[in-house]
Amino acid sequence: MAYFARKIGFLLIVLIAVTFLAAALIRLLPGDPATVIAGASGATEEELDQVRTDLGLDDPLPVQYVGWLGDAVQLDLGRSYISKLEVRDTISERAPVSFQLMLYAQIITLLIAVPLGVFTAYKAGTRFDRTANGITFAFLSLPNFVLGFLLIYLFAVKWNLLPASDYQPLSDSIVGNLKGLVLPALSLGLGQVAVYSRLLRVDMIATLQEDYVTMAKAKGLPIRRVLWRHALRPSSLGLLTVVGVNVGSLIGGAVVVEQVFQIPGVGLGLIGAIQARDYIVLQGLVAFVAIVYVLVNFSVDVLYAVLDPRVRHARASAA
Amino acid sequence: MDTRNDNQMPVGEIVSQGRLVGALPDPAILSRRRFLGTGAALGVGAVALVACGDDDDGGSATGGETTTGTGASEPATTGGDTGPTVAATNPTGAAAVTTEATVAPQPDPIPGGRLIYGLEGENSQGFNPTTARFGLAGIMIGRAIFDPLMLPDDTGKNQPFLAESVVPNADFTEWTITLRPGITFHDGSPLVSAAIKANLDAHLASFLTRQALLPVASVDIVDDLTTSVKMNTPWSVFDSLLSGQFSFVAAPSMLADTENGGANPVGTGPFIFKEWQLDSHLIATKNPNYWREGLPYLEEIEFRPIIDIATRTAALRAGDIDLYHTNNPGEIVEFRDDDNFQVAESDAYAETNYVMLNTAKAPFDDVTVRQALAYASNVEEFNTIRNKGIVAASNGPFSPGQLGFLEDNGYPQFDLDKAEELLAGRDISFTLASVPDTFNVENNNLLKAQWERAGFSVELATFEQAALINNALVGDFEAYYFRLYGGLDPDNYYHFLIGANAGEIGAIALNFGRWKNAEWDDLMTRGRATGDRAERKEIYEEANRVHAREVPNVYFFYTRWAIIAKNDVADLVKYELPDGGFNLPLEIGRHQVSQLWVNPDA
Repeated sequence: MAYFARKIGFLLIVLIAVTFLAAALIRLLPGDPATVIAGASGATEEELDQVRTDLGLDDPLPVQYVGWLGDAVQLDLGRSYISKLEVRDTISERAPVSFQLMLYAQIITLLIAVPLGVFTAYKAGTRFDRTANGITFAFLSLPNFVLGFLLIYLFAVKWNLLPASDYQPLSDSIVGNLKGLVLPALSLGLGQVAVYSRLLRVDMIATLQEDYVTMAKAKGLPIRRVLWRHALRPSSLGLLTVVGVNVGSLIGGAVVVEQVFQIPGVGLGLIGAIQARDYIVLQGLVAFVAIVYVLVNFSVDVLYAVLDPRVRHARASAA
Repeated sequence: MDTRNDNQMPVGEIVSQGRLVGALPDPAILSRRRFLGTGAALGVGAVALVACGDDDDGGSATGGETTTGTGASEPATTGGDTGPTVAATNPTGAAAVTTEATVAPQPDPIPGGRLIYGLEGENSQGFNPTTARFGLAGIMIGRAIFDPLMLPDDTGKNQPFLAESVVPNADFTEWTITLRPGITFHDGSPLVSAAIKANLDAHLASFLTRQALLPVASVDIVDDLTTSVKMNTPWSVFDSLLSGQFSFVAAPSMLADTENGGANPVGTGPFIFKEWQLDSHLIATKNPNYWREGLPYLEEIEFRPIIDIATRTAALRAGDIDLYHTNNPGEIVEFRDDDNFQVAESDAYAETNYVMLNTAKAPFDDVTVRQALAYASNVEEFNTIRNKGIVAASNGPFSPGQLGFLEDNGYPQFDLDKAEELLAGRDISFTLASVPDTFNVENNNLLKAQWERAGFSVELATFEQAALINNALVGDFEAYYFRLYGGLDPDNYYHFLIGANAGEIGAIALNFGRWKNAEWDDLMTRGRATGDRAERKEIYEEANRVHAREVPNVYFFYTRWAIIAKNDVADLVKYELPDGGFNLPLEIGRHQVSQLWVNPDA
């Protein structure tokens, strides 16, 4: 219990630090929201000052931040300077889109990486191992957007199998949703296959040399059972850690992929908010991303304890 | 002087005469099927040329002229007609085309169906025309949901649309707008003069839009359908503003809802707003009570912003969208030769692409340096390399079709020796900046190479849009790559170039380049005070020559806009106005959408 309390306390400190830093950094960007909103149309200096006052932009940063934080804890994240839409609504519309994209990307990545990691470990040093290594690293070396355009060209333009840009909410059409997100998810996930599979491969090779695995083989268990039932689980801790940590890189990748495929998720919202100097939206989205990132990593920590009793015991004795 | 090259479309020939051509597709590059689909539009354009007459005859618009409609709503454009004859009127002599256009009957529009329209950007400020900045995306959505007070005909002159008439008094100090009767907003409220006053008053109070309406002193209701707009100075071309963002009439209920109105537009247009998800889509459904009988043909239209060029192109090819607009030469060229798609193009009244110079500080406070930079600019090379050779070289803010446009206004033409002579060995260095997208960065690199051949030292920089605009406003730049101007009348950019709007460095000024010239100011002010078309033509031509001599900017090309569509999208730009005649087919990328229909036989 004390462990969880410490974790949650730490989590809150991280969130405050992240959102404050985000607020500070955003305001260091060149460009002024007031001129974006009104300047290019001929507003006077006085009117621009009024816009800044109306938006609370003329207060010192700590005052602005404390005001925002006070509202944020009551789930009032403010309204966009530009679109006038509620930031809370913006997040609730965009977050499910990005979640789906990242979830599909993770699923696709794991569906490819786990079997590949297991079999390359089993076949370590063979031609299959080297070929798989080469192909997966080729995908890793390709930037997301290049992969995205390549997939669009092949699957949308040349073969006309999948849409290039046609996001549909899950509530509208399950099939449409899947079709619209397959290519973006592949763009986001394929590069990670190398990371996941190679990591799993290394852990699996070590596990396959353990005595209990040798014992299992000696008892005549089928190799498939040995690999999947006895070796995979203890080999997956490293993979699990990376999957958790990787949420951050997926969010970063999603910014690019959402732009390429015009998917209305958090990433596209971040780009638009940065370009328009829409501080209030940017701050809300950054806070949201930070919360998700921290919570995912917290969950990974908890899962660690579930998967490996040694972690649980160590934490219990430390407490 | 003909500044075009061989790759340009024949429409450029017409454009270069300073007249409408709108979307007259090049018959040489259209498949037969596509051609037949646009045959009527061809005819429309040709008829427009006849109606326009020769500019030299002084035209038809004179002081105190009224632009009057004939009253109640009339049947809208319908199919079944045959495109007017082209051969008799088309000065390009596209006779081979004419035969097909006149022989082939146009199919009747089939009501129903749904189209997805790809937009080049998102109108992220929402859709309140008095508070949001409407880019082309906003204008297109606006034309679906709102209706304009006026729409330009195929001679480029605004004609009444929601208005039955828009009439000035003799000295242009008062304009009277009379509405058509019996029109209602989507919320059921009637379109009456109170709504016009609410919209115009909101514009006058808005720092976003009021600058363009500075001559307006007051807006008064005369009766239910009549509104009087009084000016504080004679303004002969007030009506030229009434077909763009200023012309959209929003329901008073929408204007009153300052928090949510912009995201829930209510107009009188052919489509009723259904839903908008920022960066994703806007859906509008058929207005069953639309005042123009028979329109719209579609049951629903979806607008989908797709900002990335490659994705947009792929989306059309994959069938994710049915049509889209673009000004990217690469896309236009790619689809011109593809029989599976139709392309309508125009550079009439288009924006000009140029390098804006800060004339308030060194080195560009010296006119000889500006002239040297213009002489050092190899526009033909630039347009060939960067624009696939399909755009027309520009020589000033006056674009083809506008009063004042001149093929030869004296603007410096590429001459490296002349540039070096003007520089006279001086070491001139400056920074050229633009937004950081690839296309602009590549442009900048080419310009740097060209200018350094003449002896300039050029640094390159990029700024995001927000920072770029900010710097332009306060004069914190030396040279910026920009796109501006264009429109139905040169008065539309009065406030961007007038000396009174050129503030000191550090102070906000709409005349970003801070160029001041008393002769120009006088001409531009005289131009808005008289309604005599011949006189205005003379005034603006002289202004054009002054501008070319002073080189406040270095000019490159007129934007070429195109609509690219699947072949089953019918009547891309053919739209009949309520009182007869046809809408200017493609004005700076704008066109109507209520006439679009899906042709299953295409």
